[in-house]
Amino acid sequence: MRKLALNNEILLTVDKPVRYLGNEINAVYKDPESVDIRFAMCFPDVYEIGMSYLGIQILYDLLNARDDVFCERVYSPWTDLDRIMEERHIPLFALESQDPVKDFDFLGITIQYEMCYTNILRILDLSGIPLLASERGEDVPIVIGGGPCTYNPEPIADFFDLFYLGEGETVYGALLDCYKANKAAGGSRQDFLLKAAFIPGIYVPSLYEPSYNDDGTLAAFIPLAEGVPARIERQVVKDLDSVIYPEKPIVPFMKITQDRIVLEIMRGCIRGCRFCQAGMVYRPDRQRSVKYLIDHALAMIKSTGQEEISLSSLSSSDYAELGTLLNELIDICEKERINISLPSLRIDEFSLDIMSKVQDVRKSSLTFAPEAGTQRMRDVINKGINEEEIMKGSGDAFRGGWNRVKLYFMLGLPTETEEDVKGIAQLADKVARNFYDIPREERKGNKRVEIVVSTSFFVPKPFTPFQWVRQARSEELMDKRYILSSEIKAQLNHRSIKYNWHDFELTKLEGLFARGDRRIATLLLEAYRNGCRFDAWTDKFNEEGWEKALADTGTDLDFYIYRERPVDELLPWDFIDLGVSRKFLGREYELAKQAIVTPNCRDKCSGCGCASYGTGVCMKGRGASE
Amino acid sequence: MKIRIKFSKKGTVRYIGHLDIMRYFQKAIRRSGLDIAYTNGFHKHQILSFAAPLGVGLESSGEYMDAEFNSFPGPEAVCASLNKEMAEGIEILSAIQLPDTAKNAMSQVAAADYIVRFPFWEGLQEDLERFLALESIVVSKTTKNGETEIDIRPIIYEMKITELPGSIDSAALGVDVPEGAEASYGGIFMKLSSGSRANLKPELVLNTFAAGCGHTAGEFSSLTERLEMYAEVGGRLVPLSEAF
Repeated sequence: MRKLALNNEILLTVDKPVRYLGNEINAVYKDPESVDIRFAMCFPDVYEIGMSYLGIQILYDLLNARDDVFCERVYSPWTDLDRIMEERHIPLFALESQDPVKDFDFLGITIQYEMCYTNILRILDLSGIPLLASERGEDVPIVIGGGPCTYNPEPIADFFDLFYLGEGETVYGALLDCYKANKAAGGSRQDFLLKAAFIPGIYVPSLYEPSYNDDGTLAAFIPLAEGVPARIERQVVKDLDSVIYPEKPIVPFMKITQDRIVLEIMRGCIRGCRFCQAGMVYRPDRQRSVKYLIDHALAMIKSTGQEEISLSSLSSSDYAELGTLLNELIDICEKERINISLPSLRIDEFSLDIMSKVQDVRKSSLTFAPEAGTQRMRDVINKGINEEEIMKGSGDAFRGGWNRVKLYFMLGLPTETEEDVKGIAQLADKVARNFYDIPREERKGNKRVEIVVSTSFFVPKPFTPFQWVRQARSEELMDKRYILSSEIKAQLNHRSIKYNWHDFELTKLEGLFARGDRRIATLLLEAYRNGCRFDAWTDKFNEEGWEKALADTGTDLDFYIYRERPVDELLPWDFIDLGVSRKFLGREYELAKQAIVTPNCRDKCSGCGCASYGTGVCMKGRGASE
Repeated sequence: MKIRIKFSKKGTVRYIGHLDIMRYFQKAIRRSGLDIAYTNGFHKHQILSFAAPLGVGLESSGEYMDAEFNSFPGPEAVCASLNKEMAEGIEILSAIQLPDTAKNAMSQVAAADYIVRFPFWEGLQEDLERFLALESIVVSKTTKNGETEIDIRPIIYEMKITELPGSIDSAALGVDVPEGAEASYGGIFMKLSSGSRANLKPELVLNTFAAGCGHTAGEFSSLTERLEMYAEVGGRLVPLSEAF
């Protein structure tokens, strides 16, 4: 039998042992003795979540394409196994070789959301790697962080040897070559980090030091070593058709959250919604060609046997050749009996036509994300959707046979008033009226409409026009939720409207980690010692542990999140050159306050700064004016 | 046309549950390009059914599934196409065409063979003879309707030692071998009633046997392998691969 890190008793005792076996179709196996670098790639959550994330699969293929590298996967053991591993001192292992992570050269951790930070500490701890980078010796892996949360890496800076800022396809090759060369020359860990700091996009936190003013704000952020760049530039792929994309993605045995083929059609977004970090940090909008996508879809269908394929992007409707792509894809999928799932489509005639082809209308629901209840509020956040479009889209859909609508909103947005909150209920009611105004025979006999209003709470994020704003307090959020809930009950069609809300306990912590600085590390350590893990899982969230850690460390929430920051304050993430300039973000913030919208990148360039990458939508605009 | 496929499941894949194995085969068949039939409707499913779920932790060299094919390229071709798509530990052993009138494997299963490998105790041979000489062996079983007592003796069709201590490499089994027990592993063969009428699990037989002799079988130190499944045809037990 292939070697397993866990014995028979453990595997027969824990829930879903299949999470820990490896051996899936298309997993890559190499002889560890035959490679120079062993890389453990980790998503710090349980298998079915981590395996659903496309980024790891891309990096897995990218790294394993090199003969000198063996890249394996690591996920958080679920709480049952976690307890056993701690009790029996079983070190965390990688799925493929089942070898301890500690024996690897690198541990790469993708950081997709703030509420996984305690899980990161758990991964390090279970691996036997000292939590603080400063306490690591030559015998443990280099710990790398990547992903959207690294655009403010400071709250977790003490736990990482280096961060990779930008898209994985760009400088991993240089980083690994640098490691190999250093090892061959007999260089130390410190020697490698110093060299790596000169690779564009690589940030080595130990080589920089923040200093603070008396009021706690950041005074300066200074490189400690000669010649190390003062600003780190985010790395982006210029031509998405030129880089590796999975052709043989791993097929898990167990049902995972995203149990389907994922086709990433584009990166970036032209919309510029002011609350949205993804819309800023993945700029510029770049698209893959239809040919590239169809070739990869065919290859993945053949190599996985999956029954469903999904398009991935921030806004699929903005893919320029969506009609051509979908028509080709629908032909293939009909032949291969594969379902297509189409998330993030704007509801219009075109998308309704496509959706009626690929979905069972009676069983599927429509999703609109107006994000705010009044036009004023939507103008503030630059969400380019208006009531007319929602009414037109939902009306067309009702005539097409749909009778279920989901509406997504945020509460706690900057400048939000009671009227804006109530507007959410009123908008939902208007959609319901829209349904009942259509004669029954024209809505395919549907008797009732089902409208689900969902609200999440707004958290200001770095590198957005709202990076300076005051975050709403829990009491304010509770009030808003109550106002909305009452207002929904007061609507004519309240029986057709269901209201779902997200919990707000996590909101303040998420805000704290999003905009915190290096001093937040103490809080994280303290919460971790209090047993906080899997914070993103509602039933695992340990409020007591967090409250105690906040109190014991004296973390000042008023300072970090409940204060409007002056636009000239030095922010912890200002040392990162993301492409989007501070000037642009400040300008957008001013426009937001005046509820003035900014056109999307395709209609008009607003000079955000990303044109410096010389690719994507930025170049198209230029080409036209030349 | 109906095709009955026999496969084995050994090694680390024995920790994969029944539902996941079904999903695994659906995808493997798609990859193989074999001409399987689908149901009609918006979400089309392959016409595929399994004889009997295998418990997590058990190995097998006699699993069966029935599939409806639109065209059948022959036994060797089906085995070869599927074996190209298998994960380590799962192997397609045979594929035969059934008459259209054949009942599906799930409804046919009447008995199954197992071998249970575990550390033998001193005098096990005699203990087994005494155990089998009993006229009735009443055990309590938890069912949906609470505890019931059943006599398992009539549904133990056969039970004998087929592998003597010393003939098994216990380290290769992948179970938790107790210290000092390395050389004492032997194997007991069992033919037990199986399926919808009376389903007897080998673990229950082993535990009852061991407890009756004042021993414990060691839940995690034993390995059970299903060897074959049978249908009852004309009062005889016939392997599912020949039962049509």
